[in-house]
Amino acid sequence: MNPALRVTDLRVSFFTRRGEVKAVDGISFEVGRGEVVGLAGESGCGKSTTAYAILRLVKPPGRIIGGSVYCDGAEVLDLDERELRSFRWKKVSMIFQGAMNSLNPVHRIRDQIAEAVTVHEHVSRQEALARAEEMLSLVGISRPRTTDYPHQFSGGMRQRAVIAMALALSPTLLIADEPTTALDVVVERQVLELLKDMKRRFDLSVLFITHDLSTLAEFSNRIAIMYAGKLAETAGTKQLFSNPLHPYTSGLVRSLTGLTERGGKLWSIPGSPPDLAAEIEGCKFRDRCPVATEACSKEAPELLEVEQEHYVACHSVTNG
Amino acid sequence: MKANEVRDLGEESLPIGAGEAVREDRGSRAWREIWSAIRHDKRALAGLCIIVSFATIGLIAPYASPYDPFALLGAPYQPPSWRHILGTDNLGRDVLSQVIWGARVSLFVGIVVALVVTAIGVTVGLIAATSHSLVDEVLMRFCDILIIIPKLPLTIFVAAMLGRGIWNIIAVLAAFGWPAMARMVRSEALSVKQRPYVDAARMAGASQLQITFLIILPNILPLVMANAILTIISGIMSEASLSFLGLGDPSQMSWGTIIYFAQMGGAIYNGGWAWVTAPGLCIALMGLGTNFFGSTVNLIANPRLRRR
Amino acid sequence: MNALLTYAVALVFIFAIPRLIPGSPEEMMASSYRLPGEVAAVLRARFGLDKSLSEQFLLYVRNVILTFPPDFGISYSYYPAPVWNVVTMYLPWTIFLLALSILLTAIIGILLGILSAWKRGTRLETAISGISMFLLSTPYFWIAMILIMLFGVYIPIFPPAGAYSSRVIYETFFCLEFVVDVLRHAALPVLSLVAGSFASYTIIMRDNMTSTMGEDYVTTAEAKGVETRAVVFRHAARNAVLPILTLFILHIGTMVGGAIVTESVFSYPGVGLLLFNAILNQDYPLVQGFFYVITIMVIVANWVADILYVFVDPRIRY
Repeated sequence: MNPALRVTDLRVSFFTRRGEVKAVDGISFEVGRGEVVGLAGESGCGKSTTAYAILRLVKPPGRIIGGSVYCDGAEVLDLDERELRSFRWKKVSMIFQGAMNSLNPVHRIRDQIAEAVTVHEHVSRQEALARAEEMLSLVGISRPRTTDYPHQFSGGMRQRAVIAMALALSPTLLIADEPTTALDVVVERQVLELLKDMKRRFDLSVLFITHDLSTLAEFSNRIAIMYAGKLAETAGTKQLFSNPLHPYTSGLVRSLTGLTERGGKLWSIPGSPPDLAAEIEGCKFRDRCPVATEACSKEAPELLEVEQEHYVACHSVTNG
Repeated sequence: MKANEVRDLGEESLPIGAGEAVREDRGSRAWREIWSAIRHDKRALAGLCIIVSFATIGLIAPYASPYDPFALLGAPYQPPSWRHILGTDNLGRDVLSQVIWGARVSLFVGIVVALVVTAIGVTVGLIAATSHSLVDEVLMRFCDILIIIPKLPLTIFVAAMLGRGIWNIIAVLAAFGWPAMARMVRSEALSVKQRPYVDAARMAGASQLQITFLIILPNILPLVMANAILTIISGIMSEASLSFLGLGDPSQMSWGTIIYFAQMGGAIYNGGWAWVTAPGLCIALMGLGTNFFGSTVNLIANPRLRRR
Repeated sequence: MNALLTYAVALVFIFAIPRLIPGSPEEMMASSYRLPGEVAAVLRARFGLDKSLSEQFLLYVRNVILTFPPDFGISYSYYPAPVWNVVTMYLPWTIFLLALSILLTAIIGILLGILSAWKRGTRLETAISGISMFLLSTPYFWIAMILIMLFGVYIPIFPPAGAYSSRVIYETFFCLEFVVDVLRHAALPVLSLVAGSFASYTIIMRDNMTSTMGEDYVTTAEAKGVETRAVVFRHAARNAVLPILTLFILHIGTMVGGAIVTESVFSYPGVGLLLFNAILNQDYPLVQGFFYVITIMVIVANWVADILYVFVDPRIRY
């Protein structure tokens, strides 16, 4: 099966005055055709950096230092300038965090979407605008409003416009980086429904990045949990929730379900994420882990298949 | 607390809560922070060095200058040589001595103008910020007028009317320079006024006068100082412009008057390139120095700008 | 609204200033032409200076605002020419010089600013920043003089003075040779004006660009596959240039003042030089006329810029 995206041993580091910060430290995962893969973790665990790396948008002092990103028959990290520019948006497009700011305040909404078209295809301006309007109506923005400027749109409308823009070229893969974080609950629901609808319509593969596991529960097929630059666990959604193996994952799941229990206390994982600039021997989670052992301080655990399609990086789990 | 105790504007007379608030923000700690930030910033240090160097030259001018700048020493339009490092002017006067004395005069003008502008500007700005809105409106409108009418023609006009003389120049420059400072002080003071510890002080019973002088003033002081330093160079440049146009004081050798004499004496056409270049270069260097130092201090003192 | 109020106050101010200064023009004129004392009295009446101050003010207001062209009376030093005629004779040269300089300064300054933000950290950027800072701290007239030295005397490419060659007679007014001649003569003044002023545009533009380039919509544009040059100009610069409009207005104000110095150095026959001489000759009506024209230009420029802002930034609509 030809996956939409295959990431192998991706490494991205930021070279700051304090030293090398290993934001992404060797992660591997796949997104199959028509599959929605959720990438979840705390702030700063490296999920957004992964997304940027796929599009090669990592800015100095960050740099992709190793690994492979294979998408739709091409090795992204080897593309030259021109190939990269045509790859972007056409094969993989992205919805950024805080989409309101993804729109240029001095260009009309319609023009910004048309720009995506004209950059990649040789069509007349007329046709590009027509396609832009088509996309916008798909997401529920009526024709007269397409000539507005971003500040004239509400937050939810802007988010929808951004989605329209991302899908204008019918990409193979859509990366959604925290698409609902900055929105209120009502709008969040609308956007999620819209994303589901779009996925069906365009047969999209989606990489859904978020810190909110509950969103992934209803939307994704598989979930990958990231911690401190590494993958802790990946599994099918149902599997992950019913049988979380990695202590971090079970901590996350527990803090979620704790809200539905009557009279229960709110549970959270004790401690805070490690400093990624510091060299840590062994497993990076061990300071907060309830089942850490000797082995955990010596060697970093590898991501191993424990059940069918269920991978965990934890000594306690793999060594019984 | 007895009535006569409040007369004294010292900290001790403030009601207890207010005193704490004031002390916390008066921050001698802040001053030390600023000083150490300056010490570590290369640009600010370089700027400070330049300013101090010129100031020193100006101070020791009578001793540092090889000759009397007005003395007619010999052949005119001499190119730079060991005897006259910058050559001579059209009357045979030594240019280097002129430039050294020029430092003294130009800096003197710049500093005095800066002092006066600061004094008036801070006063007016504080009054505007802490008074009734009508007073504020009137004062600010007045400043706006002075700012909108092109400054140079106006200063030229007034300077021409008053006649030549170093104090006239200083007066004119100060008179047209304070509105900008007043505006800045006012906007800074207003923003300090919004801060919670001012409310705290007022609720604790501090009077308007106490708030103004013990809270607002110390907080705007770093910014005021940074701008005062920038005013020095603008004073020097304005004086140079006025002198260049012939409105300066010919009995004083400022950098501006040197260039004026150079222009009048046809330096460009007679090979007096050092004569023309040197004073301008000094002004430029002084400008660079104050810019480096002043803008860095501005960045440090104004935390809003620091967010980069 | 604001503009009108400023205009009104400026009008009063302009009226007041010449009268506050000691010395009386008719005496000065009488003595410079070596005329007997009675003539001074006649002149005084002629200039209306024997009337009361409030009468003078009313006359001033009536002549200036209610008639067109505004009547400032007769110039003392160009007697008997009316002030307005004198002003309009010299105004075109100044406007030509200033318009050319302001436009070039803005364009060059903005482009250099974009360039130094784009190529941040390279030697090019350091060079641009260094030169900008230096030029900013240098007195303008000194730059002018150095330029004259370099390109007017030592390497004579451009003529160092005047607006056109006075010894040549041209067939028609706008024939090619005349235009070329005018441009050659304008080269050094414009060059010096541009050199002295572009730095503020560059520095501000660079700062604006730096913060704009970090904005999300720029990253989005890049992700869309837009080529770098288009990202820099169509997306980043288009936003970064908005605050420059304010600088532009301020700049016009300072340029107008700077015209005096420029024309003085280059003996350029514009209103700057004229104003300067008028001041020295205590020619009050002429001075008033100039200040009026200058202030009007600045106020109009401010007003135009306010309007332009609405068109340039779609977020501002009244």
